[in-house]
Amino acid sequence: MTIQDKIQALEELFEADAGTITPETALDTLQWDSMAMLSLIALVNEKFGKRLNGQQLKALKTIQDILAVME
Amino acid sequence: MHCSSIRHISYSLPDKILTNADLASLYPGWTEAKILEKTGISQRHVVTDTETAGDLAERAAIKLFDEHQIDPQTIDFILLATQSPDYFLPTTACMLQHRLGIATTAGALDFNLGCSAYVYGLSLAKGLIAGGIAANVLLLTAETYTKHIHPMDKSARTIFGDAASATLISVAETERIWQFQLGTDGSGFDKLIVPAGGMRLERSSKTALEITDDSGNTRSQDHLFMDGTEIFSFTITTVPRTVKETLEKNGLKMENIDLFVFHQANKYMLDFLCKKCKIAPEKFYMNFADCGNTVSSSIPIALARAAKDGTLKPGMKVMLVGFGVGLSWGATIITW
Repeated sequence: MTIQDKIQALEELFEADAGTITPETALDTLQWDSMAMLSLIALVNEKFGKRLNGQQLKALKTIQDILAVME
Repeated sequence: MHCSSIRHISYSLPDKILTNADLASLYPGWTEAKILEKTGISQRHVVTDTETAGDLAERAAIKLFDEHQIDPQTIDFILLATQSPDYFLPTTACMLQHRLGIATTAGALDFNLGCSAYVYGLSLAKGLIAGGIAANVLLLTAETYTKHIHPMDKSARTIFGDAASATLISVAETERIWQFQLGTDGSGFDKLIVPAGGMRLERSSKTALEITDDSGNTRSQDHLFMDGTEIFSFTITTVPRTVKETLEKNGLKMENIDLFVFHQANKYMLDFLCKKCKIAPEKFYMNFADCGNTVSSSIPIALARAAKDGTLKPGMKVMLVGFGVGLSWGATIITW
């Protein structure tokens, strides 16, 4: 997945308009609720075969933090 | 070794109903449509203050006896899965022996498991029959999680409903309950828990202190706590592996399974599991919109409904998978 693909997947996850999310976007400006967390766990598991735990989720503050686990 | 088979299943839901409109009126920013879309649940049946898991189990068993003309005197073992027993002691299953008119020569015990309980109950019933200890096992599941949930715990209250089921497992000519794949990870004990009220932490004014978390859910240590993200993460890694292991253990392939009945947790989780396990949607049974996640009763309710609506036909091979609190999981295959 290229960085553009990842950003696009996150825009879909947050139901945000295309081009509105950048690595600098803070998660508290988006709808970062429990459903978004479940969607992220699912996305990371499906595309990268990783298991995210609660502590890792709580540590996420920006889109850049999420991009760092999407590898 | 004696063979065993599921003969009949009945279930009982309490009369009182909690709708999405009721929840939306309590929680600002929530709508009926949003709750239905995210969970696949439109309403849940919930007990009143005076109803217990024992009462629900009794009703489910009486329905089983009435619907299928079963003489209670033929039952020689009662297994009850519950995490909401009527008393610390005595055992709720013992009281049910008397209330149901089952012979005093029957064995009876409770076992404490949640969403994995039905599969474990089948494994115990199979073992009792195979060992010649019992010939007709009454497997009951009864849960009243809503009694454990704080009224302002939005996530838990939206998902869980109360229910009970009754299954008759009897000695049979051919084996219709296949091999089991069970698992346990107690390191996750605190991911779904009622912290206070047992012997480790007795209820007190301190444990009753209410706290509102980041997501806006209020609860105290006297209430049920579910770490939804951890449970989801555990489920999506454990269940697909368990499905594969169960097939291997039984020498079967995906295409040999006619229907998959997973613990009916919620629509979001089940949709993900169906996709991840590469199961054809038409073989993946979901039917819980009117009753929510009924914990240990969700699989037997789904089986009873699938049989009634014609999805489940005699001779079909069905994979059952339960997973949740413990953490505990289990799967098996039954021939219907």
